[in-house]
Parts: sequence; C-alpha cells; structure tokens
Amino acid sequence: MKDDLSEITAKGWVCGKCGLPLERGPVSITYMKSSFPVDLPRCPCCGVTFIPPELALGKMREVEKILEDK
Amino acid sequence: MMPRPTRALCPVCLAALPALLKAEGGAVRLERSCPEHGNFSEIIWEGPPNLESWTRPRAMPEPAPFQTAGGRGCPRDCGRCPQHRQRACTVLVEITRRCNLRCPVCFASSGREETFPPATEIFAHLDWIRDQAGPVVLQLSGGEPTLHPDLPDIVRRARDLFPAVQLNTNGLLLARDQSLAPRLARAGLSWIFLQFDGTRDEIHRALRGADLQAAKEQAIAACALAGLAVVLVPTLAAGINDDNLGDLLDFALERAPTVRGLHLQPMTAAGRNPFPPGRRLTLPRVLAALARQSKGRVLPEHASPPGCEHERCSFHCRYLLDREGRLHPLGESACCSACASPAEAPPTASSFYLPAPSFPEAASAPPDLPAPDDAPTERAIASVIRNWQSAPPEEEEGDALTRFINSARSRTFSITCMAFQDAWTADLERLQNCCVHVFAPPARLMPFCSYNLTNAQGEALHRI
Repeated sequence: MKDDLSEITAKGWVCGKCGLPLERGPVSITYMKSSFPVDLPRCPCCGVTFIPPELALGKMREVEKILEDK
Repeated sequence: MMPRPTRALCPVCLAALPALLKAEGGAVRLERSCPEHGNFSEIIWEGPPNLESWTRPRAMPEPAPFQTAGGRGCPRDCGRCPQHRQRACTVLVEITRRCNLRCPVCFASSGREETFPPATEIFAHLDWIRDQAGPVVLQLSGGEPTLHPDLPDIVRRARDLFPAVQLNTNGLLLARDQSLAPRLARAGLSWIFLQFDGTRDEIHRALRGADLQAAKEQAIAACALAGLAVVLVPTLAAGINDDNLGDLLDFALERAPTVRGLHLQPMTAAGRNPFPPGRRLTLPRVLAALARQSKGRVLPEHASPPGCEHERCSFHCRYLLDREGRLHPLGESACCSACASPAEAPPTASSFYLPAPSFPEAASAPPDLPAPDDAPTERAIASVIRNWQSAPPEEEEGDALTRFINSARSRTFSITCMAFQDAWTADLERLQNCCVHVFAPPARLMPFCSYNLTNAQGEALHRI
C-alpha cells in the first residue's frame, strides 16, 4: 500500500532533469499554511519529489479536505 | 456592491416585495416597502467582517428535484418549487410535536399533545426523504424526540438510510434515564445536538422556564459514558445570554472530546418567540462578542463563510485542540506533534500536486485527479460528519500526515453560528439557496426558515 510512506521506495526511479537516482529524504509538504515533514523519494540535486498517485489521492487528499473545510 | 437588489417580505402580510440591501453607518439594512403596510428596514449585518468581503466562490450543485409546481411565488410555493436552487445537505424530520418543556420561546410551538406518530409512518417518511434528497445528514427533531417510545428503532432505520443521524434534544430524558444514551449509541446515532442556552440557571429559566443546568450536565455525562458526541446548541438572546459566550466556550472545552463544538443560534421572531426585532444578534455581533469574551482565543478572522448554505446565513470557525486544551485555528499550522521546528525544516514541496513528473518510468499520463472542488452539498455533509461525530481514540503512531488525520478526527473543535431568518430578515435569495430542509408531511421538503416563518401576528405561513 503506497500511501504508507515507509513503503514508498526510491529504488528504480531516476530524476528526468538531473539523471540522478532518487533517494529517500526529508521533505516538507505544505498546504494552506500547514506543513508536514515526511520522508519521500527525492532528487539529491534539484529536490524534485516523487509522490505516487495512491498517496496523492489517499492520505493527501484527506488532509486537503480537512483543511479546506465545508 | 451596495445597494444590492434582492426580494424580501412584508412582515405583516408576508407579501414578497422588491428589496435593497443598503449600507448605512457600518451596518447593512434590508429595506422594502409594502403598498399596504408601509416601509420596513431591518439591520441584517454589522461588520466587521465587511459584508462585501464575506463571500466564497462555490460550484452550484445540480438542481434539486422539486415537489410543487409553483404559480403563487416564493415563499408560498415552498416545498420545493422550481425556483429553488440548492439541494439539501441536511433534512430535519419532526418525529413528535410533544415536548416535556413548555419554553417561553419555541419556533416550533411544541406542546403537550398526547399521541405519537407510529414508527411505521416515520419509516415511510424516512424512505421518501432518502429517495428525494439522497444521502443527507438526517436530523431527528420535535417537539422533544426522546419522548417517542420507538426512538432507538427510528435511529436504527435512519442509519440504514443516511450517512449520519443527529438528534436535536433538550437532554432531560438523557439525564433521567441513564440507559437511553447507550441504547441510542448502539442504534447508530451519530451525535447529539443538545439545547444548551448557557451555564447559569437564570438563563435556562428565562428561555426554558425551568432550572436545567444540573440536568444538562447529567445528560452530557451520560453521553460521555456512552461514547456519544455532543454539540452544544445555545439559542442566543440579547440581554439574556449574549454575555455568557466565554463561559459557554470554557464549559465546552472542558468537556472535549465528548463536546465537539458550539452551534450558536441567534433568536428569531418565529413561533412563540417574544423577540423584539430591534434587538437582533447578527453574525458579526456574535463574532465580536466571542472575541471579547474568549479573551482573543476566537477572533473574527478565524471565521469563514459557508460553502453550502447562503453566505449570509452562517459562519464557522474550526480549531485543533492541543494537549492543554488550547485552540489553534485549523489550517493555520499543522498539529504540534507533526510540526518541524523552523531550524529543522527540510526542503519544501510547494504544493501537494507537483508538476507532471519527468521520470522515465512515468511515461504514461498521470491519473485523472478528482475535481478540486466537490459539489458543495457533498463537501458540507463530509465536513459536518468529520466535525461532529463521536471522536475515535487517537492513534499516536504513523507519519506526519497520518498523525494529522487522526488528530483532526479526535481533537477538532468547531464554533458555528446559524442566522435563521424571520419575517423581518427573510431574503428570498437566501431562502432559494437554502440547503437545510424540513420534511413537511405528507411529501414536501421545505427550507427551514420558510417552514418556520410566521408573520408579525405570529400566524404561520406553512407550519400546521
């Protein structure tokens, strides 16, 4: 299940811009003045971060809804 | 821009009239002229927040099915007519007219009638509501609904049909019969809307004709034992309990997470409310009183206009409670345990949705993302369920997103305020965009404020 952040692996992913393999590292996700420090696969050079669809449509969407309100 | 045209009612004959919203000395007035009964002008807003800025863009839902053909005009055709522009997010059904209080104020004019509609009749009404309105939040109301002998069965049937079931009650039976709360919890009740006008007996005496503070506290304790969430619902009356908001807030916070919020209802001149229309508590007046009495913990800038009902009908403030019970506006910062200190802050991904990835393996098109804005009714239903349903025990483990989701389920607290309309303030633009509907037997759904509308003589337009 890829919305369990610890299950999201950097293995096999390469940054299209820098050509470097992605590495798991700390990233701060921010939305509506709230920030969430998490570990995700990211490019060690430019910092572009890989967020799998399951995470974007699962846990992140749930957080969005909580923050966005009725 | 002011003046803004709309349509309003003559408070005497309830004729629909052309009207203007006019700004005057920091207030906004609803002005109209009845050829028979003269000019009427009522303050409906006293900023801040400024009414011009109190707006929120929203996607309109699909038109609701209507039950009446129209012909006599709004609001006489109510129930719903083709002029209605909004689906229901919540539907209220009165399961009895009988009440165990005889409040000096009651928009429902409830009384002592001796019979109850049989459960089978109520089940048929619930089926019809589900068919016409869809999966709304269902409110069981009255009269006093806990008096109905089949209430647990009614709750059970309602939960089979609707995503959430709310009970609007004065709480006296919950206090007296300690077995009732657990029976309702087992039947699937989602939360209790507890009439709770203040923290002093003199307030209960003035509005309800009895000393009720001890019973109210017993009712909350019974709900806590049963794991039932409670929202405290004060009817606010100027000069009676508008000085009690700070104490109400403290009382509620001391009982969180059983108490999940305050839902304030400024009194309107409907039913047998002896309310002089000159002493009206507008939404900004309530916000200013909250800011003053909460000593700055609740501020007008925390309030948002609604995304479902009309923007002039309500405000809501949402908070996260920290371990010490302090309020933190939701959306201002993540929960404390999830926050990194600025010194440790890692690189920032500036948005949840990053630009299309340029990874070689991601050659296929990105998946279809859901629309950024759900229909307002669906969003409102999901939001009130999140805010008001019983809080599950909080799980401490997981990543920062998981911890935030868990804390939002169990440690959020909301302050909401609904400005119901009466014959003096009814604005047809608001009525036609209403999403809080009442089931009017045998087969109509009516905006709450239209259903409860009475003229200056106390005569009801729709309620029988």
